[in-house]
Amino acid sequence: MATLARSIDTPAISIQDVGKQFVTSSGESVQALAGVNLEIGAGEFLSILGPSGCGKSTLLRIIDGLIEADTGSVTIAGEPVRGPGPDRAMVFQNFALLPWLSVVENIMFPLEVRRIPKDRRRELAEQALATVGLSAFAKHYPRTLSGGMQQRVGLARALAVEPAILLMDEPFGALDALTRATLQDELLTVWSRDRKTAVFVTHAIDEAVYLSDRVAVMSAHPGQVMEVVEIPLDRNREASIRDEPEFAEIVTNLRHMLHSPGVGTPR
Amino acid sequence: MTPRRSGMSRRPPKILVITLRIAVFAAFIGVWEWAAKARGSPLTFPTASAVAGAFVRIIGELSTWQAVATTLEAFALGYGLALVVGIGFGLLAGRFEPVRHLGGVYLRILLTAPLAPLIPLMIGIFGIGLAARVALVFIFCLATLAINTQVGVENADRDLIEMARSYGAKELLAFRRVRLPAAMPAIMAGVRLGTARAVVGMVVAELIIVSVGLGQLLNFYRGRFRAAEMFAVVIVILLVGLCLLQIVKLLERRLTRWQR
Amino acid sequence: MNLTAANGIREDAALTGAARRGWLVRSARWIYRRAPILITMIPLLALWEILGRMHLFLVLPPLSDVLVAMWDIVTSGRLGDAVPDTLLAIAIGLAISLIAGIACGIALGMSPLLEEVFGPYVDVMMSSPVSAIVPALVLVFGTGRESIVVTVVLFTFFLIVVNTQAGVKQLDPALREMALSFQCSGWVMLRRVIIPGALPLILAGARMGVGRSFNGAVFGEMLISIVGLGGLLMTFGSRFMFDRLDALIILIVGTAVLIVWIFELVERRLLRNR
Repeated sequence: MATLARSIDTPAISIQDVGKQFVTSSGESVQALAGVNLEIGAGEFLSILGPSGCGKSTLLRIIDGLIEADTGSVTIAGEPVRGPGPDRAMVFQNFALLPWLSVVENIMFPLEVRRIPKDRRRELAEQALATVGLSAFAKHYPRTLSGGMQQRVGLARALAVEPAILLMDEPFGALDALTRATLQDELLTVWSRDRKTAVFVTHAIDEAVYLSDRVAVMSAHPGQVMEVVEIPLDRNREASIRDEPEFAEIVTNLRHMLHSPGVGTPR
Repeated sequence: MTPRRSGMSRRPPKILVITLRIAVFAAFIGVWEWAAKARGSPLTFPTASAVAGAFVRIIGELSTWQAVATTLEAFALGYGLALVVGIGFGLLAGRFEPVRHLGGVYLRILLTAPLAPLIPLMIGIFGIGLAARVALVFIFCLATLAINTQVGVENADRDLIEMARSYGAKELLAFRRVRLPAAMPAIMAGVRLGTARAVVGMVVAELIIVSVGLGQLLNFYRGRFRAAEMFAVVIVILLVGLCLLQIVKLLERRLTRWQR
Repeated sequence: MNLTAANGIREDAALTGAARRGWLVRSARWIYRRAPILITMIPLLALWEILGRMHLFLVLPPLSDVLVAMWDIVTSGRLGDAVPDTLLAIAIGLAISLIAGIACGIALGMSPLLEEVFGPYVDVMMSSPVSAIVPALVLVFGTGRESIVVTVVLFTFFLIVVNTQAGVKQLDPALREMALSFQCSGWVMLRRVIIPGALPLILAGARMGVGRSFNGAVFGEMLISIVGLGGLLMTFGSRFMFDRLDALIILIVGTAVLIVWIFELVERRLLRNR
């Protein structure tokens, strides 16, 4: 009967002058990110859009605290990020479900890590499952589910821990076009309930436009935020909005931005 | 290409690795020296230094190399026989389902069963000479060779075979030019694994049937309470086994070059 | 198949004949499919009995004699002394190998440094005939049970390490990352992510270890020659008591194969959902 708690304090994320370098296995050093600045407002849905290899996934992981930035800082609600925390939850591109656990057990996993008592765990997990419409599959194992269903479980898992910030790393990238469209709508529905702060990484322009309040366009080599574009569409948008000329215009603009010289080529 | 995530796997510096490796080895030798000096007598527990000295000595002696040759003789015969029979059977089994179905159980048993208990039986059948040792080497590695070959032939890409057939290749030709090469990596893997098992069979036979070869040499030193020499013979056996396996690994790499 | 009134009776007879043959064919097919070992085993056993009666080979007494001997050694208590010795050594040795081996395997799988440092040594131990070390072992540790236990450990430890290590390494790194993102680390990570993830290979290593441990124990005992099952084998062999020798071999090999088979069933059960 308890509903997912309303996130009252959805903090802002402040990314200041973040840089990150990697050493590849062949010994070269790659500048993945350099001088990245970005402010994300509370309750905002922001997409990070960019070509493959532009460091957007790296940036997301720095926000989540999985990777440490070499230079610069990331603060959430004023506090600097030091490793993963209970205020953030991530949805992964390849679902990252534990194959030896059933669906409901997978959702309970992070709750177990947080030492939440057993019955409360089950309650939260079942609620999250209901939110994504997979209650009937609670006892199933990931192996028996389709890609779309597995990612719904991934989303449910992220929601179950009641994070203030939802981080999504190309969550629909491994799915076919039809499933992707369905899940995009479901995501919007689920997100609209609580309006958590959401950071969504993708390389698909129409996806970014459809889902977000704002889109941060990144360039590669080294990764930097080129521009942040406001999406002027009505927040309560429906699938039909894709047919609107306004939609196509925004997509075209973004595409030109991405294909402008120097975006994808190494400097 | 995407660089590693989250810094989870970093290559440790080569210098550190080599230093630590040497340190581990030194620690091992150190513990050995200390334990031998503190615990045992030189008759039962020779120190590492004593063994090292003994090793250098016996390497120079003809009797050692004669023993190695005798031991390797059993290995070569047993292994050679197993290669022919094992790979032959594997080829048949991979190609023809009835062979696979009927013979499969026996191979599985040969693979998982402890074969050491068969030694007294082999002695009973063949006496305590070369034949018994050859038989043991043969039995130890037969199943591995057969099963790996079988799996390799079985899993030869059906598309490729279909393609060969569509161009009119007859059974034997398709076999020779498509199935066999495609099965090569698996066969070579079987040869490698089989070598390890054959070596085990060779050594185990040597140590129990002590009339010839390195087993005899070991017993010779044991009888005269020359523990350091005995340990040295053990090291010789280990090295022989290692060398055989290395040779086979190199061969495997050679023959499956196209896979890389 | 044309059923005309004129050929009525003959057709009916043909039908039942065909039905009878059909039943035979079907059951033959069933045996072929489900229990192929019977087809080859029965003639082989028969051959054994016949050849044995012909006293062709000393080592091949008739099957019936072997079966009698089997009953004999099981009931006479000869086995009763040897079996606990050997089984105890196997159990202790395996336990040590499993605990230490899995721990080391996990350490090697998770730390690139440890893997690089110890890797070559583990490789060497896996590629060498460790049975060669046993005589030296016996010299140092004496002819008691300790030597057998150490032999079993030698035979199985490195195998388990290598398999566990491989199991840990094949774990999808995304799963570890996911767990980290939910603040899972240390013991919990090990217990809930790493070990379950590596379990298929750990179990495979343990299964092979069981087979190998029998080999090691029997071999060690044969070398020392008076203890346990190995010693019994040597005794029967040297006294040319081949009916008992064959019987004991069948018992030992049979038991080992049975245990491995049971292990496989357990393995399959534990891994059924993946």
